[in-house]
Amino acid sequence: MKLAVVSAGLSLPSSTRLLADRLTSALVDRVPEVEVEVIELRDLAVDIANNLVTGFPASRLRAAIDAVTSADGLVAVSPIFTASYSGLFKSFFDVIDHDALAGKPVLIAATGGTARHSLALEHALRPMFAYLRAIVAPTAVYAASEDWGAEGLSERIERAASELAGLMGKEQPVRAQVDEVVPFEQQLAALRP
Amino acid sequence: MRRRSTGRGRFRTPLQGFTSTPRPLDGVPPFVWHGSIRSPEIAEQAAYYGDGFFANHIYWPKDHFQRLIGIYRERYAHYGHGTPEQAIVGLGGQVYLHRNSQEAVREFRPYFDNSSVYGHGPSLEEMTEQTPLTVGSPQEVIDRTLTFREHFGDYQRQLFFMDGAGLPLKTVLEQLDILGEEVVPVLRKEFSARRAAGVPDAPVHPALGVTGASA
Repeated sequence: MKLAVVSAGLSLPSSTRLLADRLTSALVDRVPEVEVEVIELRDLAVDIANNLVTGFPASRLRAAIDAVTSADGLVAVSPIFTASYSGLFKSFFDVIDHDALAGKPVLIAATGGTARHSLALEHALRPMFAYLRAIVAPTAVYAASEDWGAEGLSERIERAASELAGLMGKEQPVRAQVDEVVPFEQQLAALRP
Repeated sequence: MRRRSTGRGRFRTPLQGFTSTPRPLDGVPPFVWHGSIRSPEIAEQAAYYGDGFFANHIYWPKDHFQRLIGIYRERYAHYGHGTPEQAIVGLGGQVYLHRNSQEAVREFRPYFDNSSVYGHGPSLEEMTEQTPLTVGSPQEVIDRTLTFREHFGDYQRQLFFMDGAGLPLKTVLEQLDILGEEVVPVLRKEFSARRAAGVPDAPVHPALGVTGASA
C-alpha cells in the first residue's frame, strides 16, 4: 500500500512539513506496511509554473503527479495564505487531471499563524477535493502557531490518521481505462436521427 | 471539373454553390488525412476509414503522440485495413537551422523567448529536450528526426513547422533552402533505407508513381 504526502510549506524547516510528518507517522503506526512518498511542492515550484504555461509536466513533476495519482491514500497539507490554500498548493492540483483523484482517500491539513484561519480547510480544501471526487476524511487538521505547544493537536492528528487508515483499507471505485476509445460506429450512431 | 453543391444537411448550415477542394484528379480522390493535437477520437476516426493519421507533434513531449499513434495503429488493424505497422502515419516537427549549431541557438532564442507559445516558460534548452523542437545544424536535425522513427515506427510523412515564433519571411525562406538542400534529401534516403518490408510508402497520386517519395 502506498501513501503520498504533499506538503506546500515554503520555509526550511517548515511547520507545514512538520504537520505532514506528524500525520504520516500517525498513519504509519496504523498501517505499518505502507510505503510513503513525500512531495515537497517548493522543489517543484518552477516545474508547476512551467506546466501551467506549456500544458505538460517536466519529468520530475510528472513523477510527483504519478506518485500522487497511483497512491492508495493522500495526505495534503498547505499553509493558509490570504484566507485559502497557497497558490502553489492549488496550482499543483490544477495540473493534475481532474479525474485522476476520483475515489482517492485524502486527509487534509493546514497550518497558519492564527487559529482564526482554521475553517479555510472546510471552505477551501474540502470543496476542492470534493470537486475532484476524492474521499476526504471527516477530520481536517489545522495547526496554528499556538497549537504546537497546546493540548488537542495530537488527538486531532490521531483521529484524522485513524480515519484515513480506515478509508485506505476500503475498496476503491474502479476507474475507467485511460486509453479506452469509443468505437467510431458508436459516435456515428449517436448522430443519426 | 468543378462541382457545385447546394443543399442542406442535418449538422451544418445550408450550402449554396459550394465547391469543396481538393477535387479528385483523373478520377482518383485525394488521400485523406485526419489530424489531431490531442483527441484520441480523431485517431479512432482515421482508423475506422483506413485513412491517414497525422499527429501535430509539436509543443508537447512524444509520449502524448505515441499514445495517439498507438491507438490509431491498433484500431487500423482492428478494422481490417492492414497490420498496425501498415497504417499511414504523419508527424509534425519544428526546426530552426544554421550550419553552425551555436549560431542556430543564438539566432532562434529571441524568437523563442518572445513566442506566444514558447515564451516566458521553460527555456529553449528545456523545450528542445522535452519536445520535438530542434534548433541546430542540419546534421543535428537529421539525427533528431531519425529518432522519430524509433519512437513511432516507420511513418510516411514528416511535416516541419518552419515559420513559427514570428520569424520574418526572409529568414523563413533561408530556412526552407537549408531544409530542402541539406536535410530533406538525407531524410528521404535514410527513412527509405530503414523502412521495414511490407510497410507502404507515402500515398501519392498514381501519376507521380514511385518518384513521389516520402518525407
